[in-house]
Amino acid sequence: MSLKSKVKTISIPNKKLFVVVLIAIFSLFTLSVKATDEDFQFHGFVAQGIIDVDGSDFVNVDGSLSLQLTELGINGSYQLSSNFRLATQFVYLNGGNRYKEGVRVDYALLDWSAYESPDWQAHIYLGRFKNNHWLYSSSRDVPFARPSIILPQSVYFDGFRDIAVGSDGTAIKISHSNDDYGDFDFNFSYGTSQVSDKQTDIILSQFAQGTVKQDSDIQGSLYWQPVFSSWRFGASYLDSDFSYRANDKGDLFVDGEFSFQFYTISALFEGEVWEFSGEVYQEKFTSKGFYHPLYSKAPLGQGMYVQSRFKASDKLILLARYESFYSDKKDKDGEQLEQNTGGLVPAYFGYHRDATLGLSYDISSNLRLRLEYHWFQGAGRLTPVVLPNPIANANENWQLWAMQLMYWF
Amino acid sequence: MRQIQWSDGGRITVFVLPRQHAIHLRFSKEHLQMFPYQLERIWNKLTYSGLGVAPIILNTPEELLEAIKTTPGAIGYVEHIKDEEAVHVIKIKG
Repeated sequence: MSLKSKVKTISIPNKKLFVVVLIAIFSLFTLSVKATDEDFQFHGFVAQGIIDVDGSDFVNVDGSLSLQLTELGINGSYQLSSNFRLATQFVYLNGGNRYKEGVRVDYALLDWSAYESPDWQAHIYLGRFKNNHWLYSSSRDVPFARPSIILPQSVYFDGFRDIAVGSDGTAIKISHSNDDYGDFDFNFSYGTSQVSDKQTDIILSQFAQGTVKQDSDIQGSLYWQPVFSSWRFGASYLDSDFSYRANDKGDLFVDGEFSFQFYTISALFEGEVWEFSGEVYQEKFTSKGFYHPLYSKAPLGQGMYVQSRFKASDKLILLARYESFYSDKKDKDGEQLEQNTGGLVPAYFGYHRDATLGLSYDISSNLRLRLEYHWFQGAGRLTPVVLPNPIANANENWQLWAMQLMYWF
Repeated sequence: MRQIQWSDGGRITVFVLPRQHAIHLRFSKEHLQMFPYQLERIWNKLTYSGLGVAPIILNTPEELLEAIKTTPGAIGYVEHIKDEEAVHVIKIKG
């Protein structure tokens, strides 16, 4: 049955006189549990860049040219049996102020192929898994697998990276292929992430002496690609709860609860030379307590990016992107934010916009050089998030350029 | 395309040629209706996010044929074949 399916897939008539031979061996040894070379797979990547930010503390405070653009990764996959597989990846990241520097277990999971037929596949992942719900979420740390050195911060906010990148728990992926309607992918995940002291500083403030815990993270997504279409459409949902426990020995803040809901819709077009993608979203960030026991606020933020890539040649890809985000749809220009804080937090902390131009050049099939320039408006996607730092981020307009060389195997 | 097991439950091991190889380019575009860069993206996502296992890339059709001969449950493609022993051949005439 599976062979029929394969033949069906590949025997689409075409005009060219060309013979391709598809080969398969059917062997009684197929079910053997003997470990072969194919059961083990090792891959990895190394990337080093230079980055220069003018006018914000996105990477460093003094604004100097920085080498804090290092990404290393090594992964292994071992097929235990026909239905079970173990996989893990370690990464080392250094992005300056963007996220915590150091080595981390990116994922470590058991992949159970729970159901398999020509039209339906179901996988259950147990352990630490990557977020697979947004267009680039599962490959945000893989330099050559994402579209740019710095991703659109409105969706792929580096300040939330360690929490958004994945979870410890369970994930499910169900895929369905239909001859009339196309391919469907449904993903669901439930888990939690550990919140480091550095992550607490990034989200709240270095003055927060207590501890943050993620209580739960539930995410779901659905992707659809119509039959023989270059388009792919998606929608996702995220609901994550956090709690803050003030430090008994002295803390400027009190106990608090934070809740984050995030809804996205996305579209991706992959043509021979042009590619378009975009994600539109709404978020609800609910805060209770923290500043004082009776504090409660739940603004609705909205954002989007549109991105175009043009394949100028086999080796050269050009990139153009625009994104826009505001943290409260009732206060898009941040004026209310400035008034409410008595002028301590300038209005430009209420939004974030970025226009990006970039290029990728493939020196060889495993070696790529990437260059890009960003023009930013606003400080709405700079850290700390909850208690902003207007002294380090005293400019509404700021710029960034970066160059990164990446190798993978 | 997404199936990872044969109907008897055995694993499918997929061998392909590098993305710049002319045979890979023609097979992708004419028979899978995809551009090589799309396949590469899907495979990179599988490999570096732990979601699955990507095909194994071999440099030449000769290496690919040899790998298929010696790997139970393997599948791949070549342009021409002389020795059809030990492999099951499906000819596609375009």
